[in-house]
Amino acid sequence: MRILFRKICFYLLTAWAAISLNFVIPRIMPGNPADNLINQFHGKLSPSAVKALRVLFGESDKNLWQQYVSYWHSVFTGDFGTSYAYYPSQVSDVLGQSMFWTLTLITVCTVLGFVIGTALGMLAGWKRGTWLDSLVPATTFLSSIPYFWFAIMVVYVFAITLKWFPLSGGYAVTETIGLNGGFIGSAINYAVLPALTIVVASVGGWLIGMRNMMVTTLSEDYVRLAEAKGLPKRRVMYAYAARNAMLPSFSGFAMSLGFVIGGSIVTEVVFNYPGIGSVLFKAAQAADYPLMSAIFLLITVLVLIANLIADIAYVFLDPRTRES
Amino acid sequence: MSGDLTKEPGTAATPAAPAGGGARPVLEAVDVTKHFPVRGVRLRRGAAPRVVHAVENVSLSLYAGRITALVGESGSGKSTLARLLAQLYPLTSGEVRLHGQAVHSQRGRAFRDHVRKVQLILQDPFASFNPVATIASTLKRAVAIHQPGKRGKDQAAVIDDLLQQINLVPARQFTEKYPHELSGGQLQRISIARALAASPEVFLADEPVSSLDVSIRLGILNLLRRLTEERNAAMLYVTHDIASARYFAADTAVMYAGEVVETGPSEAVTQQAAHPYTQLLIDSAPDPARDGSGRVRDIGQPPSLIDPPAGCRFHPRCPFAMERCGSQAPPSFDLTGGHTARCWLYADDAEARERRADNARAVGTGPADPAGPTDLSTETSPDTAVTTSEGADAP
Amino acid sequence: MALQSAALAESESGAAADPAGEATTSQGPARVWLRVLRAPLTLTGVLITLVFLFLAVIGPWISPYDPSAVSDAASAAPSASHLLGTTQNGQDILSQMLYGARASMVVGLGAAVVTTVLSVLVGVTAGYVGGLGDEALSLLANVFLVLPSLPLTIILAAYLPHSGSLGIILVISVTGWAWGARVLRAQTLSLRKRDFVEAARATGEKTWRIILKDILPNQVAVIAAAFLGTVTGAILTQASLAFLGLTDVTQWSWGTILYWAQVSSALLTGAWWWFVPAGLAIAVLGTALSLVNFGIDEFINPRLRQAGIGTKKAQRAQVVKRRTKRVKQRGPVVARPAGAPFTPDSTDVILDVRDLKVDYVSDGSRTPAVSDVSFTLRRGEVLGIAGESGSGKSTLAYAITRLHKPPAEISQGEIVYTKADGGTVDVLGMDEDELRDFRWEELSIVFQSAMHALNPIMRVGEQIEDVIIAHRPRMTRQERAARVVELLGIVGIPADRAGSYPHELSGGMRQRAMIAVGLALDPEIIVMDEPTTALDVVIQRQIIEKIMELKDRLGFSVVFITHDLSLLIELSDTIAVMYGGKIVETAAADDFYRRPQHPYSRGLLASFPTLGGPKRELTGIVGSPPDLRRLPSGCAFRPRCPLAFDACAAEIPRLYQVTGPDGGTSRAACLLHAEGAPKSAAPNGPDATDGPDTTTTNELATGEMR
Repeated sequence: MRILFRKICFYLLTAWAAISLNFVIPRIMPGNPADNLINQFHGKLSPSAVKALRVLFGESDKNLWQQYVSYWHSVFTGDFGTSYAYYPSQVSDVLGQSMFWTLTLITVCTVLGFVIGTALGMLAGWKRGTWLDSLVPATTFLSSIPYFWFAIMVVYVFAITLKWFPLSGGYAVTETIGLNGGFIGSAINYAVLPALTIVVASVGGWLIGMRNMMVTTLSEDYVRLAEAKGLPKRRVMYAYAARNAMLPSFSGFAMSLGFVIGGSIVTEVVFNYPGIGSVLFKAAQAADYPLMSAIFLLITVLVLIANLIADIAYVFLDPRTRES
Repeated sequence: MSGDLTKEPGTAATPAAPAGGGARPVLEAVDVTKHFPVRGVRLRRGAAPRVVHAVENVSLSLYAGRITALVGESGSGKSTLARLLAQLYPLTSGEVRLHGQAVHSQRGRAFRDHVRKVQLILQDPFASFNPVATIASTLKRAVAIHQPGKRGKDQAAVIDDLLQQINLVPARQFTEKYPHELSGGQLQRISIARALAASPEVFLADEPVSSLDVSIRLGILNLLRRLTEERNAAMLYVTHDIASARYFAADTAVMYAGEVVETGPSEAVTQQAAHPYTQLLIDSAPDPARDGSGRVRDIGQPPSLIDPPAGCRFHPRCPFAMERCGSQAPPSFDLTGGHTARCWLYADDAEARERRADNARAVGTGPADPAGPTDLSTETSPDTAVTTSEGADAP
Repeated sequence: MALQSAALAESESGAAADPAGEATTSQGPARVWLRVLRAPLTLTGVLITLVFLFLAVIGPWISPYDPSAVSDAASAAPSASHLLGTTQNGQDILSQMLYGARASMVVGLGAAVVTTVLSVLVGVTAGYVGGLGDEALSLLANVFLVLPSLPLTIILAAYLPHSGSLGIILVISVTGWAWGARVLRAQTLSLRKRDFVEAARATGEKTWRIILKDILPNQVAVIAAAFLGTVTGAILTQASLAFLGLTDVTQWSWGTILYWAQVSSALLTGAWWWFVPAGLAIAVLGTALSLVNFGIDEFINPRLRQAGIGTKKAQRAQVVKRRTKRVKQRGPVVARPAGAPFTPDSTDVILDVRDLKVDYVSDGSRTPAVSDVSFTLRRGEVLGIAGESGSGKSTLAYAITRLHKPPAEISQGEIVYTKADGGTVDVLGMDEDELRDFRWEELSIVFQSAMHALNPIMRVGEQIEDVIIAHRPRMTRQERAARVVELLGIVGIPADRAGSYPHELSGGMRQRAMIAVGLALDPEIIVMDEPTTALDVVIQRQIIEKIMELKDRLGFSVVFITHDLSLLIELSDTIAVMYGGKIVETAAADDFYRRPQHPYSRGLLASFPTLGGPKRELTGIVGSPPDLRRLPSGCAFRPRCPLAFDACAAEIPRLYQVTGPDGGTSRAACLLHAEGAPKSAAPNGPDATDGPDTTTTNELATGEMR
């Protein structure tokens, strides 16, 4: 499968570019954040933490190439130094704890949003000209709302006013973390509102994209022929129209995923959800650069993996991409 | 009165002889080859880069006041050849010569100079106009390029005159319109006017009537012929319709899979087709005037141009193929009257003679026998035969 | 919203040309924008956007308080003095909103301008230059496209200490240019291949002028869509950054209002007025911009305006008045054994079309695309329908199969189908289930372009099997597979090709596969709409011979539609010529070829160059086919007719019967054949022996204009 090979090469290249960008940005930005940070801690930093900072921001005693090599070394060992927002925890520990929460939440929500949005979009396109058309402005409005603001409203209505769901956090503090029923139940209970926010806000984009492609596909000759062949309506809708109309959703997956993830991160802040988003918020507040760049790298790698999966799915869905 | 297609096609008042006669070509392609690279990563290092052999070793001459048809199926390379002559693509090898001078000019002033003399007319009139520009502004641009001295009133007068020449009067009725407001026939006339703005010596018409309705085609072809005659210009008429070549062009060249397989006077090529591919093409064309018997049965299709067959590119489909056809590319054999065919059937040996007789029986009318023993290396391209006289095409 | 524009740009396909010749796609620029505005949703979007712009401009002057000024009225709910309430420090929220509007708009517009300029530069350069430069630039764009933009933006913003608007604009532009660049590159690539760019190049135009005059003006809609999309995106991004505290939180913007609301726990204190207005403003503005973008999308892709096929409306629109089904039982007709050759005197009518009229309905006006068309198709007959573009022949093909879509509508007529048992049924009165049985059991269709008519992502065998599953539910899997192989064999496709996808087959093979789909249920009638037009002559010959062979073997009837009259004469038993939506002549193919009766038929026959026999005079027809929206009075062919006389302008001729000298009869819609027509002009001159005779003088060189 040459195409897969090429895709993997492309994503490796992108990963390299992202990681290098993360190396370059602090070095080309004005000011010296490292010194600011070190000064903030008034000598309370351990020598190793200072060294890690230097690696991140550029050590004056090494040339760029040597800095680059030692940067890569820390990337591969996962050693991003000490976090300042969570001092004296290691960045990798902070991320290790929060990653699980975010990964679960975002994966479930992205899949749900995609499935629901695409399914509704399919219907709206198929029945274009009926009441389903009103889904378009409605979902447009929903997808124009800032995720975090929608989250605030959801919290206000469901947690504060109606008190149906817990206000913030990832699980009840009374539960012990582990694979026990009480914890999982509580985690689900706590995740409902954040998940609702992300799914509702992301459905719109998928819906509108799918609907428009569906309408476009419906005027293709092969749909007309499928109808003429006397196939059942469902078969025409699924096998002929929707399967073709879905393809651009997959090829545009990267774009939309970036949107969803960006939105979800900020959403977590509102819910004080123990995921990467909340960590990022804290990191930004505390100007915790090591943590921020580690989060950037982590999210980038996850997004790239998700895109690779979408691309592979695309290759299976569209036989035309399989050759050349 | 000129302009009906029954008169001897495509020859101006001064009949210029085809290849072998006295005239000197205005524009010619000499052993022109064009390979397009195939995009994509090469799997192994050192593997030969994959290319599409779009045009291979083609020689073709265009004479003043004379229409030459280039006939072939889609993908045969006929349009590519026209664009090579227009210098829109660089050549892989070979030469394009204008008045005997080799031209290599894809850009800049040299390109403009070439374009001023050689104008291309495209197939689809609806597509060949910028949809958001008026006819006037499209024509103005052409006039501004080729007659830069003309401004304002002069320019408008030039445009009126151009539209006059292509019989769109009153001009005002057309200049302020957008392309979608005009019919296909009118637009094709305007694209001819755009070409006329340069006062070219050569027209390269790439399927100028294929996308038009049948009833309109004749008018456009007659217009093109009139312009060729009045201006003593040369015209390359690229078409897939060999019947129209018979009526419209003095000479016809047939292309198959990037190669010219047969050339000659149109009447000879269409009535005594020599190459089995030309025979197939003619047999396949619908024509109620013939009865349907004796058709060549064929289930093949043109080969991949990335990896064309060795030897004669038609041999895998050819019912008369001999052993050498699969290994040696045939040279061009001269038949009578300026008629040539790139086919081993016209070699001078026992096997070829026998197959040639088979072919004649199958086709019904025997094509002319070869002119005689032919040296493989010479007399294949017309430019070797024009050294004798000069300036015979003066009006 | 970004998604579908990308999809559109990449599948930049010319909308299917309407058979009625509606010129909708491109118009003069000014009018086009007016049309975009006509849609109510779009107009709403534009108005809302303008209101926000206005407020952003005048905001600081009309705001009642200094947005940062602290007052005693802390955390006050909306009241007359503070219309939107106050913060916990007593700052006026309305004033903050008005000031914030300016900051948010500046970021939105500024980022959109910078981003769009970057996108256009990169996209158009990459698309036009091609080659290595293109590959490098598009690789760069693709890399930026998959990088998650918000985290990247956060990193960049975090390093810019106390980013003001300018910093945010730059950060958003750096991360946001890639999408627009990719879309524009795809657009430029497809534009560059368009003929008018090549024509400009061939005229000797300079590259930069081509980009400026030919490429960019045709991308205005896409650029505008990208611009508006970026405005929305930038405002959202700015709000997110501000909310995270990554901008200068002392500069008022909608995002910073929300930031202060969040850090002051406005939520917990129930101060809803603090966070509602800012979010709502962002959402409303974003919606408004998206609505404008939908308008642009619908303009770029006119298909988006069509009704979906799943709607009742789409079904109803097909036939104006639904009749109750009439089944008239007749005496049993002796079933003709399949394969019996058709004879010209056959009366075994299988399809009887009477007075069919199809209109294109738009904005209340009706354009007749097919009017008063009547013909009969007999069992085993090949009926050839000839016509030029806009003659209504394709509309007719779709109407008799009831596959036409709105705006096409059958406004009158009947289509009577005679079943094998002799019963008759009106196709126009069929309900959905009957129609489903009728189509493909009794009648199937072969479309013009197999490339487009076969589902690109489904194996060819599966597409044939589909029909069998739907109509023969009792067949087992093995039986179906055997039938697929059999059908492929019939049309001459090797059985192992059943597993191929359409793009893996050559053009001829695809058309054969289409025919196999059409044959799947052994229909009585096959309607073929230009089945070979897209093919080369040699392949066309192969396909035609296959069709004729199958027809003889399987005994179906064919309605064959094409503009290629010579092909039609060769293969048809009967010819019908359409002009201006009407049948102007029908005759047996042979009679038609030797003695065309309608001046238009004669003109057509005299337009075709011939290969066999001596060259004959080609005269052609002056003028061009009529516009169905503006048909001339009387006979539609009158303005082009060399034999027209006064009465032709007054009367629409009906079909008159004409009997030839050897007994063959034709019917021609020409007053020359009416009783009392001026005999001098009547075309009953000496019969030409080898082709149509012509009495017209050739004036074609004088052009088609009049």
